Amino acid sequence: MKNNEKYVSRVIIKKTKSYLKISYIIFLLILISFSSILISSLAQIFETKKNYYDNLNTHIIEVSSKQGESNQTNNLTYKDIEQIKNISKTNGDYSVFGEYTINFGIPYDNDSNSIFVYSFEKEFSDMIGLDFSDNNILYTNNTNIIDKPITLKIPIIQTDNDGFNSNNYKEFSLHGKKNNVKNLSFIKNIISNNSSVIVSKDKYQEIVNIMFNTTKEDFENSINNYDDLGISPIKRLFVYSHDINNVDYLANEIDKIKYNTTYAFSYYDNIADSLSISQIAIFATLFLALIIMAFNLIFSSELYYKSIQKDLGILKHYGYTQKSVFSIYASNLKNIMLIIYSITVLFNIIFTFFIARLDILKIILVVSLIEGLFILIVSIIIRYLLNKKCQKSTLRLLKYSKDFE
Amino acid sequence: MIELINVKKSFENKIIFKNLNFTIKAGEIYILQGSSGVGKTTMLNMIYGYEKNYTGEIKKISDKLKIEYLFQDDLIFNNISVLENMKLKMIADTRDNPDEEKIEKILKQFGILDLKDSLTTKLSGGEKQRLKLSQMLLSDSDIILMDEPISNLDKENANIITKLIEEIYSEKTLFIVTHDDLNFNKKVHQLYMKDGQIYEK
Repeated sequence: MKNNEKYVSRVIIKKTKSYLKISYIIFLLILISFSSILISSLAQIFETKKNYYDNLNTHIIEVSSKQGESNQTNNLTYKDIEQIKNISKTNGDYSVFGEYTINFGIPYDNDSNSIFVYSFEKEFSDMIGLDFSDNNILYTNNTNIIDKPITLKIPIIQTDNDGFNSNNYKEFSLHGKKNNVKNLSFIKNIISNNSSVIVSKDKYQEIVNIMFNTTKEDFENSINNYDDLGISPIKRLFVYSHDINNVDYLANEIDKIKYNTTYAFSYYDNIADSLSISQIAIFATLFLALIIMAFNLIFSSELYYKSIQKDLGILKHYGYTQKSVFSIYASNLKNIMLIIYSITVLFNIIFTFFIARLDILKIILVVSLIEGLFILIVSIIIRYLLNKKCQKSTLRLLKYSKDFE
Repeated sequence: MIELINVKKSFENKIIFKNLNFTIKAGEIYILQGSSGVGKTTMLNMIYGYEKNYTGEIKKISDKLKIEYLFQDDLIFNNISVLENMKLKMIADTRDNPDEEKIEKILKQFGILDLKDSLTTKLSGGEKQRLKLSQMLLSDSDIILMDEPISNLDKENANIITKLIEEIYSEKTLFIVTHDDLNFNKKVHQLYMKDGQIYEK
């Protein structure tokens, strides 16, 4: 735009009608209200997401045992892992992990102190924050072991007619490390117990192999066949649903095949559905407010451009081209929209810092982008209406304005 | 300068011009009168290029012939000053930054320099007409078309405006459409329009 056209724009803007000025102010106020609602909603959603959606506790179904045919409780076996993995191939993505243990203490020093060994699959360990890239690590809260080498005395178990006995042991070296596991209520009992330690799945298998002088396959077969080895290695199963909305469904499916389950949402009445409904309600209200706001400004602009057709005609009569007349008024519209957008973004920044605790930049960016896009669409529609007026012939503009007045 | 050759124009089944022939010569003043609705303003619109729906030919001496058209209505912006109105017109004419010195000189010629900062809504009918006439001088036009330049003015103001037009536009070609009597000292072509033809009185 040329300098002299900018001058014309500056002069023309003084003639902006008061109702249009009021419409712009209302537009700004509604945008700010929209910002505050959207920012509050997003802050709440991110908070909820952290508390519920991103929280491992809410994604996990704990399976503690299986009911037998005459309602007795059976220990879990490796077969159960496969059975649960196969219950639902269509409804969402989920994983099944075992909590493996040796249900008697293993001595580790000359004072006959012993520890209870636990283990999980690598994926589950990663999920709860246990890093086993160094396979020799043993996680514990026992300060006597932390950051120290530790030698377990693995009993070598023999079976005879009198039952199980062990006269021999094998030393097994590991290195203690502070437990930095995430706050997962299901394994709180392991974390809080000083005599419990967590080792990698590989090390666990090595210990079992030494203890029973067996191989992984033979050991798993024995457990699956309920051979009495004196231990029940799979204490619990954890079913992790990637989609929080599928937790209820999955738990029901697992219950159906006679497993005993516990999960966080079972204490609430359909909390996942309630969260979705409240979000839909908020966004529906916002969408309605947006549409009303857009119509208000577009209608006011149309009314304004209708009322200034004489001015458009005068400019054309003076000798300004259609393109010049359009850019004179469009540049004013652009400047006003830029001012409105700048004020809104400034408000977004201040309000977000004031109200949100998480993902502050993300919220500012999302809200500002949505509003920017919205302002752009409204501006394009208003520019289209202006252009339609500018396209009219000079005589028609002057005659129409006479009729309008 | 401008020649109307066999111009035919009708509007809603009513014939306005049938074979209208007329020539506007450089440096002359033409005053066209006639009853309402005979087509005087339509003729101005056709010469200026606003009205294109006709047959025949309107021949101009050059494509670069510069025509100014003083509309009957007040084609000035309300709620801005006299000076700003002049600047808006000058920018359109020159496509350059407005020459304030030239504007003030013209306003002085029309006796409204002291009103340059006044809003146009505060001007009287006569003052508005002077402003419109001032705008006509901003470009170096070859011919000025005027539609009812003194209508709606009292007798005193009408005489002042008539005098100003004669004094200031004496070197220009003028084609004036009016119902009123314009008393110029200079020799003018007194015309009247009837049945789609122009006759010299």
